[in-house]
Parts: sequence; C-alpha cells; structure tokens
Amino acid sequence: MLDIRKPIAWLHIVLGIMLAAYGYTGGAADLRPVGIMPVNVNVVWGIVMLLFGVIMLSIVTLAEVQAKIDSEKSLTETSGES
Amino acid sequence: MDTAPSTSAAAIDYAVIAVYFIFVLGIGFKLKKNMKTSDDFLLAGHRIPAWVTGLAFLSANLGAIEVMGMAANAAQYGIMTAHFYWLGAIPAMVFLAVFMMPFYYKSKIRSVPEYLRRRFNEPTRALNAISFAVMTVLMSGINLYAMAIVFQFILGWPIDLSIWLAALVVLAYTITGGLTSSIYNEVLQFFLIIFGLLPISIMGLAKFDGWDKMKAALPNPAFAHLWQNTISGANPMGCDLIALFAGLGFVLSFGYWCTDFLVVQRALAAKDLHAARMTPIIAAFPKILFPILTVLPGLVAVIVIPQLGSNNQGLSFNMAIPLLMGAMYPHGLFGLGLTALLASFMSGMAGNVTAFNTVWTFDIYQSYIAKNKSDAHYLWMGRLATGVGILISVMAAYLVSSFPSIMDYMQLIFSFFNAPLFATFLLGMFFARTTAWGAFWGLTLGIVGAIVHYVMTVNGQVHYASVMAGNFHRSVVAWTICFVATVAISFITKPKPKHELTGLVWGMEIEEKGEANNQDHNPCPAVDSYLIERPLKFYQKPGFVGIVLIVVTTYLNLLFR
Repeated sequence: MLDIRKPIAWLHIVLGIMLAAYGYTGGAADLRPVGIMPVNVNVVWGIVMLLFGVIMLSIVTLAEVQAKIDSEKSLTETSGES
Repeated sequence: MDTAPSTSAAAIDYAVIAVYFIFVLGIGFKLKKNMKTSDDFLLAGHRIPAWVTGLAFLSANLGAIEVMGMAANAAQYGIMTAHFYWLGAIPAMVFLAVFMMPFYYKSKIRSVPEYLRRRFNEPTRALNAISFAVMTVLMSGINLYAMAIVFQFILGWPIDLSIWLAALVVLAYTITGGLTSSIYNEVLQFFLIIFGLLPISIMGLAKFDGWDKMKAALPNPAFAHLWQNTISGANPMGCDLIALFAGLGFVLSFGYWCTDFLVVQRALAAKDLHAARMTPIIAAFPKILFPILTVLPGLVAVIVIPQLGSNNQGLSFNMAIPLLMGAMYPHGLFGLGLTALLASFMSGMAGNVTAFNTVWTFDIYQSYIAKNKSDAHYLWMGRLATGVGILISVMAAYLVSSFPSIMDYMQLIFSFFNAPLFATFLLGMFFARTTAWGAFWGLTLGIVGAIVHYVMTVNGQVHYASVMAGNFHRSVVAWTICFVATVAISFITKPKPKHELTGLVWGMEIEEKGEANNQDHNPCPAVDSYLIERPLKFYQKPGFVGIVLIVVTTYLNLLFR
C-alpha cells in the first residue's frame, strides 16, 4: 500500500520551492505583510517547507532501503535452505 | 486598517491551490486498487499505523468548526476558549485511550452504534445510528457552507460554485479510496493546515514583540486569563465552575471525544490494539499546542481588526482567520493560507461523510433494509452512500445558510445528542447492571430533556450569561437526566445474562487463553493476535503517557491562569 509519507514529502517540496522562488524573484512586491517582519516571508517559509519535505523524503527513503535489505536477506536465507 | 482588507488572489495563489488539489486527487486514485471489500472501503481494513490514525484523529476534527470557530470564540470570549483544549479535549482523549478503547477495539465492532446493539439492544442502536447519521450530514454541510462563505468574501467566488466544487473534490477522493483515502488525506491536510496557519501566530507575536506586550494591547484585560473570576462566573465567557468542569470539561468533551463515531472510527482503523489505544494519545500531543494555531490568531484579530464582530457578515467573528491572512500574508503565502483553510474544510467534511457511510451501510442498511447480501453489494452500497451523503451535505449547506449563527447551532446539536449518549456509554461500559431498556429510555429522556431545556432557554424561563454558558449547562442537564433515568429503569428491568456481556463491560474481559470461549453463544469465540497487547515498556503504556499529558496540561492551566 501507498506510504503516505511520500506524497506529504513531495507536496511540501513542490510548494516550498514555489513559494521560495516566487518570493526570491520579487513576486511578492505587494506590501501586505505590513512591515511586521524584516524578512521576505515567502522565501523563509518556502525554505522551511522545503526542508520539512526533504527530511520526510529521506526518512521514507531510508525506511524503503531498509525494507529492501531485509527482504533480500530473508530471500537469500530461504534460498539457502532449499 | 480602515476597511475590511481588500483581498484578491494572484496567479501564484491559485497555483498553490491547484498543486494541492492534484495531490489530494492523486492519493484517492492511487488507493483505488486496494479497495476490494466493504471492510477495505468503510473500515480501512485494520492496516494503518498509529501515527497515521493519530494525526487523522486530530485532523478530522480540524475542520471549519475548529479552525474558524475556535478563533471566532477567542475573539469573542478571549483565552478562555483554550478550555476546550486544556480542560476538555486532553483529559477526554486520555480517558478514551486508557479506559474505553480496549472495549471498542476488542469487541471488533465496526461502528459505535454496533457497540450499543451488542451491549444493549436493537432500538438503542437504531436511535443512535439515525441521530448520528443526521448529525454527521448536518456537520458536513456546516463545513461546506463555512468554506463557501470564506471563498465568497475573500476571493469573490459565487457561493454555489464553492459549494459544488468542494463537494466534487471530496466526492472524488472518498468514493475512490474510502476511509483509507480520507484518513491519508487528513494526514496530508494536517501538515498543510499547520504550515498555512502558523505564520499568522508568528507574525502576530512578532508584531507585538511577544506575548506580554500583546496581552497589554488586548481590549479587555480579562481576555488573557483562563481562570479569573470563574467562581462567580463574571468572566468574558459568563461561565462558572459548574459550567466549565461539569459542562465543558466532563460532559461535552468526554461525550464528543469518547463516543462520537467520527473520532472513534479513526482509532478503530489502527493495525492492532496498542496502535488503537495510542491513537488518541499521539493526537493529544499536538492538540495541546493547537491553541497557538486557533486561539492566538483570534486574540490577534481582536486587536488588529477592531471592528470585528460587527453585524456586517464579512466582519463576523468567524472571519477572524481569513481576514488576518488577507491583512498579513503576501501573495504566495496567502495561497498557502487559503489552501490550509480549504484543507481543513475538506478534512472536516470527508471525516463526516466517511463516518456517515459506515453507519448507514452497516447500522441501517445491512441491519434493517437488506440483510445477508454479498460483500460486493455492501461495497457498492458504501460507495453509493458516500455519494448520497455528499449530496445531502450540499443540501444541508444551503439549509445552514438560513441560520444566523453556525457555532451556536452546532453546540446545540452536540448538547442534544452527544451529552446524554456519554452517560449511556459510561453506564454501559462500567456498570454491568445497566439493562437494554434502561439505556434506551434513559437516552431518549436525555435527548427530550435537552430539547425541553433548550425551548425553556429560548422562551426565557431559564437564563444564562452567554449562549455558550447555556450550552454547557444544558449538556449537564441532559447527561444527568439520562444517567438517573438509565439507572432507575435498569433496576426495574431484567439485565442481560453475563455471558452476553463478555468483552463489552469493565471487569468482564475476554479470556485471553481461549479455553472459556468455546460456548457457541459467545459473540467473540477466538482472540486474534492483533487484539492482544504485547508486553510494553512503561513509557510505551497509554496510562503512563496519559499522566505525562495531564501534568503538562495542568501546568499550562496554571501558566495562563
């Protein structure tokens, strides 16, 4: 069955890149964050989301690799017996 | 800020929303091939790990009501709104995990009404199944309507378009992937809701240079206190200790978190008993912090948007969060915020619809309309019920639009149905003498009592300081009537024989060795391995983690007293 961590990771990676790129290219020229924060909110938050996505993806990839190693191990063990 | 913030979405905002829709629909279609039996579709086939069910457990409640309603409440009543979390939800979730979940999970019931049939009788189950089915589609309609209102005021979309569009998307992913798809999307939505809402709180605190200075800026200093003047009831919420502890803390919160099938269903989908018990416990940790996402923005809104709460519908308390997003978020982040709202509406709606289709298919259709059909037939019926449930939700959304206040209407429904039901469950699970007819008439009288009490409140015979205080007191009344009537009638009617109660009542657990389970009439003949809890380290036990949760919650109550 589908591992839900994968779509979660990719969604945050895609949205993070979209936000950060939009903020970086000056797309957020409108002054809506009424001078509350001295930073480009889109860039900062985009990077935070991107990082979250990347961490999630590495966790799920590690788990998959581990599962693959385990199943190969049990495969060689059973073939050794026969 | 002089007028309501002008808000229009840019291309980037729509792009963010579009990406989200693609993922939501993708999950539904990816899961479609796994849906082979009615169990897969309606119950997620007992396959899901605890952290997923835990987050879905939370997210199914993170609908419009939670996000917008709690912020609206905070703007109206101040930080006392956090009582819904720190006095109500957390203790109730711990109670569910430690005491009630073993009965739900081990008795292999498919729904809460089914427990009532096994423990009591058919009429009790029918009463609960029908009232629950009505309640869920109404709730789902409320979510749909709230979303349509937001998108009308923020983006200028026509109400009809918003309602039908959201209904179609929810239909697409629930009809393909069933409960699994709903649960998976709820987890996805959980993270999005956090990423979309958290910047409001961060920016709010940054704007005022921290909590202490923000407190000073509040229009009413009592808005910063949880427990000030709670003995006299002279606080913003107008609630005395009885209303808070007995009404909100005990009856309403325990009633909702421990007996509402929408919530319990998520834990029942867990892969084994331990995962099922850990579901509310895992959910409770983020839940403790949720006031940061809901109550805090409400407080920011009262300061930043002083005309909030006026009669203009676009400036009603319910609009606190959308208005703040419009005022604070740049394009891009604004799209993410809208996506978070959209996600919360859809997870609230999908949660209700997936609970509705299960209760309809198993507790009404299979029990009273078409018995002994093939599983494929019930799978088909589950899908049909999903479609029909969504259609009724759409109609309910139009119905709700004629009511002046969504939140009052909703708490009212809860005090009618969930409050007395909790007394029935407490007695059913912990008092073996409770009889079937005692439960049925107790529950009926509790519901009738709540309705009579409501009519008396409307007519002015009973008076409360606020609508909320009235709801809390009404739930105490309904609970007490149900409790007393159930006990009284139980003593004059015949109890069920003991062997029929095995596994359903405290102190009558299923024998795990299996030798006492050979009788033919025993409803639980064999104990499956996933029903036995493996030996646990002390820190893995629900009871221990529950105590940690209670300590942290008590500390927060003292911190903001």
